[in-house]
Amino acid sequence: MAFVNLKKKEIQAKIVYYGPGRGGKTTNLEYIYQNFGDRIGGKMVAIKTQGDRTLFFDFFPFDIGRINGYQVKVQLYTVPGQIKYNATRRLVLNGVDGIVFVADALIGQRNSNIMSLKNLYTNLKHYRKNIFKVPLVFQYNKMDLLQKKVPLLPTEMLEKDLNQQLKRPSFAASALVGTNVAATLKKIISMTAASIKSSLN
Amino acid sequence: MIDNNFEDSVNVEVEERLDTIFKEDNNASLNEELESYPDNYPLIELKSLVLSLEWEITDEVITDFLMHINNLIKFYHDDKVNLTFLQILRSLGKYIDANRSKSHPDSIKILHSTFATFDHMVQEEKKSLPEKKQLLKSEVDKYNKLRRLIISNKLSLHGEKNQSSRILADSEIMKDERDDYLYRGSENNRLIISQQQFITKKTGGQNYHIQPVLLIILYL
Repeated sequence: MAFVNLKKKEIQAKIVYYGPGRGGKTTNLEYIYQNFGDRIGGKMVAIKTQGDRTLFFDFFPFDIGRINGYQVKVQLYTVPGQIKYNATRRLVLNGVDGIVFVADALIGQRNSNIMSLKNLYTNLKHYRKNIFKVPLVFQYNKMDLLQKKVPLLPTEMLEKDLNQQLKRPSFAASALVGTNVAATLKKIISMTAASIKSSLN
Repeated sequence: MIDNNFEDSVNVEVEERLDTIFKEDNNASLNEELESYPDNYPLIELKSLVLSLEWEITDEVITDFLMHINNLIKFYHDDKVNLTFLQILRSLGKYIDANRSKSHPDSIKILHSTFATFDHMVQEEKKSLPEKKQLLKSEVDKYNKLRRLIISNKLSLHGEKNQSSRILADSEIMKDERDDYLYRGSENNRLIISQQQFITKKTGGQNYHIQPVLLIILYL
């Protein structure tokens, strides 16, 4: 549930980028920070291990201004994708309002995507949250590799594997190039805002 | 009850705000200038597998990786430089497969570096043989440095006593490389081991092998 300060008329929404390791979660945040950072302010914090892997999480808070009388603040988080860091992933999910699931379109990552989505389901359940009710957007990342003729999972297959039951909005994207990075973020913020508004009503 | 008009007006306000904030000056598209591979490029599958290995070493990925390497070894059987690149990749693959999370942190980096150089070289078909050999040498140097690091780490971790068997068992790179080169040398006569020297050192009256030194002559 979002943090709502009625006195200050302030809403803080927490959006988490989830998915398998090396899928492009941090690259999404970096692209947003580099391309829109001067408009939205905020500073991105990333804690990385040797070899550039996310150890705890990345954190990028920013302000989208006053909407309907409320100052709306968005906090973007990523989780460490590596299997062994599940405790951190679970912790980051605490109080989540919206999720972007960044799937890796590389052929070899098919199982990792599915396992990561199952892991998300389990970790949300821990907080008594239903994956079918949480605002969720899928992003099928690394589509730029198609240009290099690297074989990728077809989006139809990704949809079938991950989104067949959930039926959430999805974007074929390249976090590296920036394709659909902003569109993904806009969609999840929009869905999260609608969800928060609905729960307030 | 929710006022639908009120809901809609808020939604529109959110959408407009987001459009303003996230308006992109240059629509990034997948058609931006990106290097692209030619049709039927032989390393495409391998590239995908190398990228996958960076994330997680699964049985499926490592098996596919080694299978592709073996296929490429057949494909490049008459190209000695390419064969050596593939031998290094196979050695690293086997080492990573055997040691998994205990692999030296640089092993994946060197796997990537070797593949990147190999990839670059295969794409740049016009490179002269000396240029190719120079590229190969830079990767062989990195590979040898890694070997030395692995062995020195083992020595510093466990001390010098009774190390020979452990080092030889743990250092899959060494073992694989020796096996590969011996095998290939005897079969195809492309790589010939001119000298296989075991440096022997005496410690407390006990002999142990530090490492076999392979001097390889490429008949290019």
